[in-house]
This record gives sequence, C-alpha cells and structure tokens, in this order.
Amino acid sequence: MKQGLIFLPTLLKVKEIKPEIPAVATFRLPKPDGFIHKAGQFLEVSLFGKGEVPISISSPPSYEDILLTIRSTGYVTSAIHSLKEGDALGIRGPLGNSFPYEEYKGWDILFVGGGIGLAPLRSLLWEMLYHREDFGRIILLYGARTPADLLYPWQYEEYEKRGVEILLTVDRGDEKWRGNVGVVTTLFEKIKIEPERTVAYVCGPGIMIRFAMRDLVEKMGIAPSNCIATLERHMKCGVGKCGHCVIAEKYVCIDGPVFRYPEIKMLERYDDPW
Amino acid sequence: MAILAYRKIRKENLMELLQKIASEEELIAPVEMFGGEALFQPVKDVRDITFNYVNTLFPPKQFLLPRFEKILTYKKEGEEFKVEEIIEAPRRTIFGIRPCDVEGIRYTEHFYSGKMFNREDLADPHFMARRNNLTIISVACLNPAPTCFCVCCDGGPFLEKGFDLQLTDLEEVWLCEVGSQKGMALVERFSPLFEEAEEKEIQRRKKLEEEVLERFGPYPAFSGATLRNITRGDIPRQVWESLGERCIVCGGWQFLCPLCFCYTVVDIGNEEEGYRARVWDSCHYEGYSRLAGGPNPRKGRDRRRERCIFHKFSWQYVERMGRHGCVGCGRCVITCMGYVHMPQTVWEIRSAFREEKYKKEAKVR
Repeated sequence: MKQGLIFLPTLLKVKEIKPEIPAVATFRLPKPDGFIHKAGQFLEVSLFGKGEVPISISSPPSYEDILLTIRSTGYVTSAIHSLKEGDALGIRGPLGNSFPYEEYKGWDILFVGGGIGLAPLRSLLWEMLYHREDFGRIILLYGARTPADLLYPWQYEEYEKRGVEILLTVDRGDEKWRGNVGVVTTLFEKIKIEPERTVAYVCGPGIMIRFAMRDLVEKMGIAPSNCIATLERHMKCGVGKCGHCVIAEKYVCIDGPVFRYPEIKMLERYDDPW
Repeated sequence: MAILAYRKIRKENLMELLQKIASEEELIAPVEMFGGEALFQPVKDVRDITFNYVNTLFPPKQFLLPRFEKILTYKKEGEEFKVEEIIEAPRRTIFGIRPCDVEGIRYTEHFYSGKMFNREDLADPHFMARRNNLTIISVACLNPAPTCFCVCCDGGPFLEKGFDLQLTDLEEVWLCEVGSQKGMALVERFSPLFEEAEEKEIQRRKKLEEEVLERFGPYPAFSGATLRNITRGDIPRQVWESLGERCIVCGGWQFLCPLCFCYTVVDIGNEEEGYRARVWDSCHYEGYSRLAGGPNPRKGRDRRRERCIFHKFSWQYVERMGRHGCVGCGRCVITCMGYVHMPQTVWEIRSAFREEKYKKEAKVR
C-alpha cells in the first residue's frame, strides 16, 4: 500500500491455486516488498471489474508466501474462483487488528473453529507451532457440516505430530464417519482444561461464536477477557470510511476484526454482533 | 479556534469579491432553480446568486464527497494492469453555506481525516485533497425556517469555528468574522474591499444572535435525555418497531443529511478496462449490512433505524467524533414521508419513557 493512497491495490500474480473442499480453494500469492502482517489481520482482495472482498490471511506471519482461503459464495468470490494460476489479483493491506499473541506465551491454547472459520485461526495456529516451546497445550476443536466440509484435512496429521490435540465434529455424519456428531460446543465436555491458564480463540459463523463463547465462560470457566473471537462483516473499504462493517460504535475493519468477549457482550446491548 | 479578526464589507464590494473569486477558481453558491428551490451550483456570473433562501435542499457535502466518484481506473496492457488512483480536487470557494452545513463539514472532516480513530495515516486522500482546496464563506442565519432546530443541536444559527469567513447581514454592510488562516489570507489579499469593523457593529451581531433564537419553530430536538437512553441501550423494542414500521426505506434522510457519509464501492467495466467508483449509500437499505452468503444482521427496518439513531445520538460516538450527529438543518423533516425524522424520533423516544407500559420493560433490562 503506497503512502497515502489507501485505495490503490497492489497487484500480485497467483502462484498456486489449491482446491480444498467443495467451493473452497487456497490461493498462494507472493509477498510484496515490506509486507509484514500479524495473525488475524485481513486483506481487501480485489478483482478488477468485479469488486473487492475482505479475506482473512490464512498463512502465519513467518511463512514465505501469503495464503488466502476463499469460499465461492458471492459475486466477487465466485469470480476469484474462476482465476487461473498466473492471473493478477489485487490486495490492499494488511488491515485490522490482530490476535493477541505475546500476551499469552506460556499459556494453554484452545482453538474453537467452525466451518471456514478455521482459515483465520490457521494463521495463528501455525505461528504457535513454529514457536511450539513458547506455549503449553494446544487444543483444536473443530466442527463442520459434513465430513466432506472439514477444512485442511491433509494438515491434521502434521498438527498432531507437532503436539496439537485435535477433536473433530460434524453436524451430519456419513457412513464412514466414526467421530463425534453434533455442534462444536458438544466437544467441550470431552476435554479437561485448566481454565485459569487457558485462552480460547474462536472463529466461525456468528451463531457458533455466540454459543461457543457463552459455554466457554459458563461451562468451561475461562475468564471472559481470555475468550477471543474474530467477527465477520462485509468491510467494503477496510480503512474505516464506508461504514458497512459497523457494529454499534465499533468499526470491525479498524477496531476489529478481533474482539474479546466483554467487548462483544457490550455491543450486544445496541446491535447484533453475531 | 476563536475569531481571528473582524472586518466589514459593503454589499457591492462583496459581489466584486465573489466575481474575482469566480474568475480564478470554482465558485459554488446558492442559485434559484426553476420551481423556486435554491441549490448550490457552480457560478460564473455572480448576478445568478440568490440571497432569498433559508437553506438549500441539498447540503453542500456533494462537493467534498460526490454522489458518484471515480476513485481509480484500471487498464490491461499486455500482461500487466495499469492502475491509477484519481484524485480530483479543484480549488473551490463555497459561498452562502449556512452554519449547520459548516458544522456538518467539520464533522465529516473529523471522520475522513482518520482523527476519529487516531489513525491519521488512514486519512481519505480524495476527501482531504478536496477539503484542503475548499474555502468556506458562510452566511449566518437570521430567519430560520419552521423546520430548523440547529439551536438545539449546537449547529447554529451563528458559529464560532469551522468557517474561513462568516458573514452577517447588517443591512447596509456585511460583518465578516475571520475564522482561520485561510480566511485571513483571503481578507489580506483583497484588503481594499474590506474595512475594519467597528465595536458597535460587533455588538449588533451579538444582539442579532440573541434575537434569532426567539424565531425558531415548533421542532425541538432536546436530545440530552435521548442521548442518555440510547447510550444505556434501554429503549424498548416497541419504540424501534413503531419507528421502523413507518419508515419506507427511501434513504432520503441519509442523502440529505449533511453529516451522513457512508458509501458503497462499485466496479464499472469489464476485466480489461474500467474504473472503480464510490457512490453514496444509506444504512437504511436492506443490503447495507448483508454478508456474503446471505446472512443479514440488520434484517428488520427497526434494527436499521436503531443503528442509524445510535450513530447519531450515542455517547460512544460523541466521545469519538467530538459532537453528536445532528446539526439541526431540518432537511430530514422536509424529506421524510413516514414521519420518522430526527425531531420526531427524539420526541417518541422521550415520550416512550413516560408511558406506563414501557416503564416496566425498561427497568427489567
């Protein structure tokens, strides 16, 4: 992003497109000069003639490329999915705040993901795996609609090898599925944690965040300020100008997208943050 | 900023000054259009300017934030894209702007300059370039319209800051209050046209200000109590539902409000060549906060209305923006067809707390 010209995208060539699950693919982009991001930040990805969409960065800051996991769900994202390797994609960013990282060194980490919500968490998860000795237990609770919708299945083995406890769940199983069936909050009963030294990072659909956060505080006993979620809004400009992403007085693109539970509870009085 | 200096200018000298400005740069002034409505228009000949108006139908925000604005162009040349950000910022002077609109510009500038977030690195280059090239010569209001309520909203009828020059009609001469260095430079450049103001004229302006306060109409928007209720978030759901029911989602309020500044972004063209533009948007439209894939956190009209009023009248915003979001220009009163304009909304929120059926619910929350 050139100084001052906040709406000018930087054009990058797509290096690789990796299909993940139906309608979801990961786009690999080279890092432009001086690009430094933090886990939890997002990019405004633009495709000329179609428009711009906010996409969270799925690659950890220490990784050599930018990885963007995009679901084909709307006008712009479906056009992005029709791109080929070598085509140009514009990015603006990194924008927004980030997951607290330094603050929780030495703590136990609990990730709670739902559906495509694993994509922003992956950035932080990998950053922690690169610095595995800085953290205690790392637990990943992840749920999706069906077994075919579980994101990044090829990575789970690698996660386990590096000491992540993974628990999966699906809303509807199929004939091969032997694991848990139910929403992600049903996994909470199956783990034992020390709530006073655990921090939870939550991302997923709004309704999932709402109930997961409630149960983390009420059933698991984690302090509300240690429950952290990234919220989803359609940020059209990403720099706090257009007003589309506002929840009560918070601009998700500048004050967020990462919020702590007490902040979200406060917003709930005036608006619907989920 | 306090007033830097007082000057006075004769009526014929003012026309000469404006003609000189019009010959050098773009002069925007109220012009009486067919049908008797005054609108801000670019003026070449100062004889077109009308002085017979209370306020223009459209606020002058379109000169800072155009309804439709190209922000960048793109063109595919071979394998590469050529992308350019377009910043269009002609030198402009705007004459005849009323204090409420001056206050609106100050509010919008606070937002677009990134000062709201203490992020001045994210200042909007398009808006700020136009703002820096804009000179404001405002005219204080002596005859408010029945719909005006700026006196309740710190938006007039006289201002202390925000303008470069503020003129007051003292019948035979105009009193000029210089409010900024830009205004001072203008006065010094055309110093033969100006004269030093005398003490009695300054006193007369003060007296006029007191007299004007008596002439305001029947639309009080005493927002203090409303601000408190909205900040606490304890307004009964039924109030929003009753307001939302009557709203016809025309977006007229947001387009006529001098303080509304939301926009949406569109790409016009094909994959090879075209431009990206931004156009005004309204938080009352259903698609405003819809997310990809369909979920809409503000599906009901009551939710959207609540969001709009929260932006205008909550302490959370007052804290960040330096003032609440209404200057009392009265344009929403003129345009609103569902009778849910700002003073009416404030009135209904206030009266809701007097009604017994709501009292109980308010306590429960």
